[in-house]
Amino acid sequence: MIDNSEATRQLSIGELDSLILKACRGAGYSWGLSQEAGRAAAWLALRGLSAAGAFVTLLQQIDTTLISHTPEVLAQPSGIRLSRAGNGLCPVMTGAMLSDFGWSGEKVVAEQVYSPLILIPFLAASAKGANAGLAVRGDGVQLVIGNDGELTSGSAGFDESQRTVEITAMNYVSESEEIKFSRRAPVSPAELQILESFAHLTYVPASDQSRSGAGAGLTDND
Amino acid sequence: MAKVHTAAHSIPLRPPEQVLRLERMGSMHQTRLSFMRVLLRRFAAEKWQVEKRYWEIDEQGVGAAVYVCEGPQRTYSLVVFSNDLDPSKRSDRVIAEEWDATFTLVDGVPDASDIARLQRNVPLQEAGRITDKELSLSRANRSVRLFNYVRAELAAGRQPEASELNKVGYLMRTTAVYGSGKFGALDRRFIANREEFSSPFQSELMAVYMIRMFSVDIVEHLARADAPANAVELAKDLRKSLGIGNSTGLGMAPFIVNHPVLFHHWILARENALRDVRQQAGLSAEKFALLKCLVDRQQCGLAHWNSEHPLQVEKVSALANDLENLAAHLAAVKRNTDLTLNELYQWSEDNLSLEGQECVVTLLIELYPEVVDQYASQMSVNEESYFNIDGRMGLGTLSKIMKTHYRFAFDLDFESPQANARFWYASEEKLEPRLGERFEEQGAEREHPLAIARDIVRTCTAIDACDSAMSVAEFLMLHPEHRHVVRRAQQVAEFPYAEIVDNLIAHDMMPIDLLRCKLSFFGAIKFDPRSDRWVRINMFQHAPLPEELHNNYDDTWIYPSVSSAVSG
Repeated sequence: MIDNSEATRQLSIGELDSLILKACRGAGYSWGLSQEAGRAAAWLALRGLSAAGAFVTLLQQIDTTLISHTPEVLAQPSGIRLSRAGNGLCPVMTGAMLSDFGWSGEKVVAEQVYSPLILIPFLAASAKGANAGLAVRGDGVQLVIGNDGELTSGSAGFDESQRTVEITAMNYVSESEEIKFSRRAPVSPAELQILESFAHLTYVPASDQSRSGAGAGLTDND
Repeated sequence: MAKVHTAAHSIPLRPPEQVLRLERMGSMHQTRLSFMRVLLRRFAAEKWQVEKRYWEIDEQGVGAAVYVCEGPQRTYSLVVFSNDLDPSKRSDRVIAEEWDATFTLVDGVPDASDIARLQRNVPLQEAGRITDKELSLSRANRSVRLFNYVRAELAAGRQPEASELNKVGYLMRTTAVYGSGKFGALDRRFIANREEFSSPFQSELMAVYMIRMFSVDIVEHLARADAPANAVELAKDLRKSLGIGNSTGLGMAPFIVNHPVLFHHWILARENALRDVRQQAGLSAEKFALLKCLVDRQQCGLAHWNSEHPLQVEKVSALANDLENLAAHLAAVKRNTDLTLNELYQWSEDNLSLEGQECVVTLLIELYPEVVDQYASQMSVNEESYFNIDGRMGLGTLSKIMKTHYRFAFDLDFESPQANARFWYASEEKLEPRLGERFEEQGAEREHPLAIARDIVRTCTAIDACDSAMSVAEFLMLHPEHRHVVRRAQQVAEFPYAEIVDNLIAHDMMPIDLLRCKLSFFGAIKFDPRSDRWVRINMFQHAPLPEELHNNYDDTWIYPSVSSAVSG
């Protein structure tokens, strides 16, 4: 992560959601997946995790022409394997897919996921939806999501660029504790610049016609 | 959870395909459930203190002021930065860069360092930053002719003519009120559980109520600066006759489309209220008298509903005619017990324009506060709970939902340039939503996902090409491009008022219909379209002044009293 704390922009959670939505759309994700990305970013930021950093890593590393390519699904006796030959998995597409199917109880291995931190909010939704705790392991690091869909431990290591992630059921019942959500999403100037450059691709340059359509074209001196 | 339940009631709710046509949405009026009326009812019931606390503004009108709303548990402060604006810079467009006054609502009471920080940011509006101590950001321009007239009259020691005030109805006009999370403000999610914010947009409207106070204070201040020896204060009844204006463009239009589940709750509350009132038997003499009185007052208000837009002129004239017919219809009723409200509603559908029909809805809802006011607390919702897609749903079920809830869409021909004429987008220039002509302008490939009807039809075509035994999750693996409408379709199955039953990209679509609907829920009146995508309104006109909130609070303030109209 790029540290330039002096000028770090403290975004609201809604601003981050909207920025990530637009950046992903600008990078080529469908609107529906971009909405998922924005919401995942908000989920991470609320829990004090570096959502902006994770998405910068993703958007810079993933081949954006392959973004929406579906993981190949292989059902094996030992569980479900998700992969994409010769390439890594997109955490937004993979996460949305896992969340859509819901947690079945079967082990899932997702091979070489880019920015695996982004997968966590989707797994949290699955855990909550199934009222099941989940253990998430990734090449030597691990975290646990409680049956309420909340992290029970830190997420160190998941902010790295690419990992194979293994998800298994875990009997973990969360204590009902009030979670202290973060009100701000810090974004460094460098991250902001990258995300905004992707977001910029969703805007349409102004023309005289569009300006005339935007308002009444009157002065306000009446 | 609020779904549409009709089984226990003999009169059904009006169906979405009746309520949510653009033409009817563009004819909706404020009701008792409108958010600014909910706010003032709370202020009155809980004895909120609303007052000016600080005023450091010079003779040119430049400086800062602070107003506060103090409730039983918390205090909110409006920080005002007042400006001496060069008239050439006065624009109601979002592309303006300077305003007569700028505002922010602070959660709590600001200290000197907060005010210094806000001073560096709030006057810049979109170019500045506010923090999680602030809840809203807004600005206003003077309605120059009226402002200058009132200033001159007060400076000369005279009261302005009520008829002049009534022509415009406000001294200042806001051009944006940004809330939840915008430009660094605190996100609504962190205050949603506060009792005073249980209805939507309460913090924004709290700010607007105090901006109205400022608009009169500043004109009096400048009149005093002009003529310290002669100037008088604005008479109380005139002060009360002034609201605060608002000028709104396309920026607001996508909101109700982008928040389908929330929008359902707004419409459902209003429709529940109407249904409940239509079911009331035995209209009391008191309520019958109130109904006739409100029709009178509504007619008086109409006299000052000014617009130059030909369509609105026609609508207001039809409404005037409708109200005359309504008054005559009621005059012919001998005894209160002869009148059935359901029959009255039916009569309105058979005899009145859409403006008139929706006006009757407003008046009927007004009669039974004891029945309808409960619905005000059901107009918020945690939208996130409904975000996730149910991927286990069968594709056949999804297809059936689409063909049922969006039946109208399948009758449209999206191959025709008329049905597919426009596209919604965000402009590079100011990042504001705009509407383009697909076949004449560049940029349609960057279209925003507001072409719901068209996209539903496309998704259904894709679904029909798949094996119907497939699950929604499997379908979305293959077709992520349909994800946004799949989410909506699943929501509308549970929340039937979530979707507008019209084509939002049709060649003759009028964005002001979307604006009018949303603004009616705010409690706006006197809609005055300046084009098909731009509207001016009045907020809090006739509303009780802060000192009138606590004793004999008049809950029907929004209908001008017959006497105030006569004097105008």
